[in-house]
Parts: sequence; structure tokens; C-alpha cells
Amino acid sequence: MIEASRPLAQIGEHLRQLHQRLVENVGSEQAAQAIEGVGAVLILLVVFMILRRRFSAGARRRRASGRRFRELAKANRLHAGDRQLLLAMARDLDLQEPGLIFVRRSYFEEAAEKGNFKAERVDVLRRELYS
Amino acid sequence: MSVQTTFEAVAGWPSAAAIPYCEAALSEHHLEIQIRAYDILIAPHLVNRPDLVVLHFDTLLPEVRERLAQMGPVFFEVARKLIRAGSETARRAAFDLLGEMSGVDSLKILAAGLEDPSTLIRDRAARHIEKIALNYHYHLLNWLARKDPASREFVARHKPAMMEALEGLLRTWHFHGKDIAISVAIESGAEAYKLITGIVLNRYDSPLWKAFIRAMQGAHSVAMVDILFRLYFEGPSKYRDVAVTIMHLRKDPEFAVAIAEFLWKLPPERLKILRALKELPFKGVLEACPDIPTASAIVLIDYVAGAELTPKERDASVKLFLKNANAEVRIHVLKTFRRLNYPYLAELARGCLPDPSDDVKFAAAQMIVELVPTQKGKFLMPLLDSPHEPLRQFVMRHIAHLSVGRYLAAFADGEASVRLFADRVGARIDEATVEQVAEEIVRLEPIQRLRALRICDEMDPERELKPLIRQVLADEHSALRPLLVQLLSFTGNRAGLRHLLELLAGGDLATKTLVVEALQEIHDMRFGAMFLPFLADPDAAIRKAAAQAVSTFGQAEARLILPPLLAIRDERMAVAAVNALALTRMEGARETLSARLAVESRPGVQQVIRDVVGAWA
Repeated sequence: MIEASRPLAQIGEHLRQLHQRLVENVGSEQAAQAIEGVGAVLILLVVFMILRRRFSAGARRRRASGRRFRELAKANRLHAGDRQLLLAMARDLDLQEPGLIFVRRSYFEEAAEKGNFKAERVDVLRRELYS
Repeated sequence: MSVQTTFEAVAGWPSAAAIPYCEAALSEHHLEIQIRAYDILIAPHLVNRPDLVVLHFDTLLPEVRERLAQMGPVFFEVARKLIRAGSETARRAAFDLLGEMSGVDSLKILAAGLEDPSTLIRDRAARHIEKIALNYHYHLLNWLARKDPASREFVARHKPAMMEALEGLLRTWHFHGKDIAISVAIESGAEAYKLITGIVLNRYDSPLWKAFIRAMQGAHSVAMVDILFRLYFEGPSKYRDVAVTIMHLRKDPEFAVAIAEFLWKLPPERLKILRALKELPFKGVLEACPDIPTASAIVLIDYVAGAELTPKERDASVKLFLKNANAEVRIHVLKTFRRLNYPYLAELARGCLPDPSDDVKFAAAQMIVELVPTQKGKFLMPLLDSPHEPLRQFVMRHIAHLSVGRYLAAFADGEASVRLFADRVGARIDEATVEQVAEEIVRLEPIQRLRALRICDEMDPERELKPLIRQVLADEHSALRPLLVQLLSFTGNRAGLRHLLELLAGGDLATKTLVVEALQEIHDMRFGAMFLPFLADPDAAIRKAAAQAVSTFGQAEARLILPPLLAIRDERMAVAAVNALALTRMEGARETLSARLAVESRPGVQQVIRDVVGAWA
């Protein structure tokens, strides 16, 4: 217990020293506390934003769709290059669910027509996915 | 690596993840993709969401729809649920599925769609109803008109559902305006009669009422006529007015055909009721249609003839069929009037003699022969030029009266030997030979034929007959001259035959030559022997001329007739035969007489034979 609390004690000592320096620099205890408060709020805000980004519904959805895409790619034994190509095609069409390109051939064809992809690679991929 | 692999992976996901992929796949017009998605969606152990298939019904390929149809009841039930509780899109998809896949069974639900708040759904439902009703209507007509067994089976299977739905369809007619609902009601006949009176004709002059009148004007079936007569007989006066209006409006031959078919199929008790009518409500179509088909026209004529109309009305109505384009119908009119003992039948038949059809002329000629025998020659004479062979022969036979009987009758009042000779000559000639003579007269040129018919007429022998005979004899190119003896014989014109012999016996050389030429033109010796009765004529010159004619132009016949008469039991007849044979002086006649003398036992006959043989020597 004493061993576990030692780093926290060190951090507390560092923070106290930082506070002393700030008081010395600004010349006032109140001003230093105000600056420290604002800084703390900013840090909390950044942390909150990072967490929100990490665990939001959209993020989960994106992760899930990415997972499904990977599952389908794996089931179809696509090489990394083919996966990249398919993802690029899905991005080209602004697909929220890139895996849909496996079941919607019309999307694939549309992307192949619109996008600047190598025709021979697209042909190979078409044969592999829709045969 | 294929579609199969992809969907195997999708099938392994939780439903929430798999559903968007399957729905997206159903929108894809690739069979392999749609089928896989369909299988995952309906599989009970996988997604088990047939409602999603219903929602995407409009994008399904025909092959997938076929598979859907195999599980029809499941999807129909899902569609019904969606209609009750679904969103507008879901309801629309469900109505589409029922309309496309279910048929008549879903008509009632589809009819409910006509009252949906969504205009789009109302339109869709109306379209589906129209399609299903049109299909049912087609089978109904196909069964009624062609007795197609498949259509019969279809109608029998769907009739209860159709009748159940029909009420809704007629009630919502103002929403959908599909006339096919009215047509189905009409073609369903008695079964839909209550719906017609209860819904269609409920409000006078409503758009539905008018649509019904229009549909009745376009229908051609027995069921339509059935409804028409039910309205005429069973309903209140406003229904009767509707029936009369429609019957007056219909002037097309198809309507007449439908009425005839209806009458033909009517049970006797209903026909009896119909015949009790004192008016003919469909007279308009009879007046307007000269081209009603034969079979239908005959049924209609028989109905009118048997109806309890006034005789004047009945006769006028039957007469309307004389304008019919088919000869058989016009003949049936004549026969019907005959059956009805029409008092002016002879005039009617005379009116039919100029008919363009020979068959009608023939029938009319037969009636005239029967009804006005005294004037038949006058009326029938123009028909001798008809190109119709049986008609020409008939007319000739009845104008000329040629027969062997008339030849025999001409000598019936003469003495016994004359009658005997005539009988023997007549026995050698049959009716076919007489008819052949009649045919030859028919083939004559008009002027010659007219002369032939004049000879056949009864006319004054001195003033008319004899000049006519001399005129015919004098015309060496006349085709009538070779027929002269036959004509005089078969019309029983004894005076004419005798006049020929007079000319032969007492005329100048030129006249005799003409007679001989005329006789020479006879190629059948049976006709040459027609003079045989004159061998017993009281006038010796006539006897001599007759013997000359017989021995020259009827020798073969005389050989067959006279020798057997030598052995006849009646002595006077035997003597007459001896004298006749002697008169002819035919080759071998003397030997015949001598041979008879050797076996003859009657002294009187023996003496006559000896006398004539002696005189001959």
C-alpha cells in the first residue's frame, strides 16, 4: 500500500513545485490558482473529446463496419492489395458500410466505372467476388 | 471466393448485422445475389424475416418471385399483416405482392385498398383489381364461349372468392372506376343479379348506372341476355325500363346471336314464360340486322312464330328475316309461314321467286306448285332460265307435266286393241326416260323451249297445235324437232301424234319429207313405236301411215310387242295383233304369222292369218 502510494506522492510533490514556481513567476497566489484552474479545465476538455471520439455510436459503427468488411474480405481470401482496392472503391462511393460492396455488385460496377482504378485488377476482383 | 462465400459469412452474423446486407442484396438485379439474400431472410433458423422480402417485392426478379409463390400462404399472411399495421411503403409493397401473386383470393383485401388514405396505394390497388378481374373475366368468357376446360376449372375454383369480392368492387366503383367489375358482374349472370340490382342500379342515372348501360351494350354473352330478361320480368318498372332501353340500343348481330343462344338453352318452363310476352322487346335488332347467322336466325324465327304476339305483329316480325343474307334463313321463313298457315303464303312465295338464291327460289317454286297449281306455269316460267339444275328440272317437270301416264290416258277411251297397244308401248318406257326428255327441253334455247312448252299446253288442235307442229317440222335446224314425238306422247297429245300421221299419209311430198326427217331424228325406237295404237285406227290411211312409221322407226320395239300378242287369249286382240303385224309388213312378219298359223287352234284367228298372208302374197 505504502509502495503503491509513493508515485502518487511524487506526482503531488511535482505539482506542488510547479505551483510554487508559478506563484513566484506571477507574484500572486490567486492568479496562479486561476491559471491552474483554466489549465485543468482545458486538459479535462481535451480528455473528454478524445474519449467521446473513441466511444461514440458512430465510432462504434465505423469500427463494426470495418470489422464486417474485414470478415468478408477474409472469407473471400482477399489479399491486402485487393482489400485496399475494394476499400478505395467504397470510399469513392462514400459508402458508410464498405462491406456492402460485396453484396451490391452495382456499387462495384459504378465505382469501377467512375474511379481511376486499374481495369485488370478490377476484372480479377470482379471474378473473385461475383462468380 | 464467390457470392456464396460472401453470404455464408453474412448468414453467420447476428440478424441486426445480416439484415442490411440481405436487404441491400434484394435490391440488386442479379439472380445469384438475390436468391442468397432471400434464402437467408426467410430461413427460420437464420434471420426469419419474410416481411422484409415483402417490403422489397417490387425489386424481386421473376425467378425469386416464383420461389416466393411456392411459399405463397406464408407471404400472403405477412402481407395482410403489413396492410393492417404497416407504414405506407409497407402497405404498398404488401398490396403489390397480393395483387401480383395472389389473384382472385385477395380481391377482397385489394378492394379495401381502394379506401386507403394514400392515393398511390389506392391507384395501385385499383390497377391490381383490374388485372385480376380481367383475368377472371377472360376465363369466364372463354368458358362460356368456347367451353375451355381449363377456364371452366379456373372459374369454378375462384367463383366464390370473386362473388365475395365483387360486392366490394361494385360498392367502391366510384373510387376505382374500373368497368371490368361491371363486366364480371354481367358475365356472372344470375349469380350477380342481386348485386346489379342492389348496388349498380341502386341510384338512378348515377355514373355506375350509366357505366352498366354501357357495359351491357358491349357484352355479347348469354349471361348478359339472362340479366336483361331478369330485369325485364322480375324487377320493378325502373329495371324493366333499363332492360327495354338496352334492347332498343342494341342493333348489332352479336346481340341477336346472344339472344338466340339464350333462347336455345332456356329450360322449357322459362321459355313458356318468355313466349307469353305480348311484345317483342328486341325487335329493333331483328329490323337492323340482315346478317344474323343462320342458326341464330332460325332459333329466333321459331321463337317469334311460337310467341303469343298478335298474328299481325308475329307475321311482321317473321317477315323481317326475309331480309337476312343467308338463304337458309329465308327458306326457313317460308317454311314457318307454311306451318303457321299464313293466308298470304302464295303471294309471299311469289315474292321470293326473284330471290338471288336458287335454293330460296326452289323452295318458293315448290310452294307455288302446291298452293296455286292452276297458275304455276305462269309464275314458274321465268325460272326455266335458272342456272340451278335441280330448279330448272323441277320447274320443267311441273310446267310440262310429262309422263307415261299421260300417254296411256290419251288412248284410255279408245277401243280395246288401241288400249292394248298403248299399254304395251307404255310398259317399255320408264320415268327416267321421261325425265331425260324433260332435261333435254330444259337445255333447249329459250325460243325452242317456249315452243316445247306451248306444245305441252292444252291448246286448240286446229287453230294452234297443227300450225305449231308444222312450224317445228319445217325448222330443220331446230333442236326441238327430234323431241316432237316424245313431247306429244308424254303430254298425251293424241291429236298431235295423229296429225303427224295425217301429214305422212296425206301431205304433199315436201311435208311428208319433213315428217320422215323428224322421225329419222328419233334415235330411240321405243319412241318410234309410240304410233303403235294408231294401227287400230278407224281411218285406213292413218293405219297405213302408222304402220309405215312403226315398221321404219320403231321396228325393234314392234318386234318385241306384237308377236307375243298373237297368242293372247282374247280372240279379238289376237286378230288385231295379226292385222297390225300384217300392216307393218316388217321383215320376218310373214314367217311369224305362218309359224303362228301352224300352232293356232282358233278358227277365226287362223282364217285372219290366212287372209292377211294371202293378201300379202
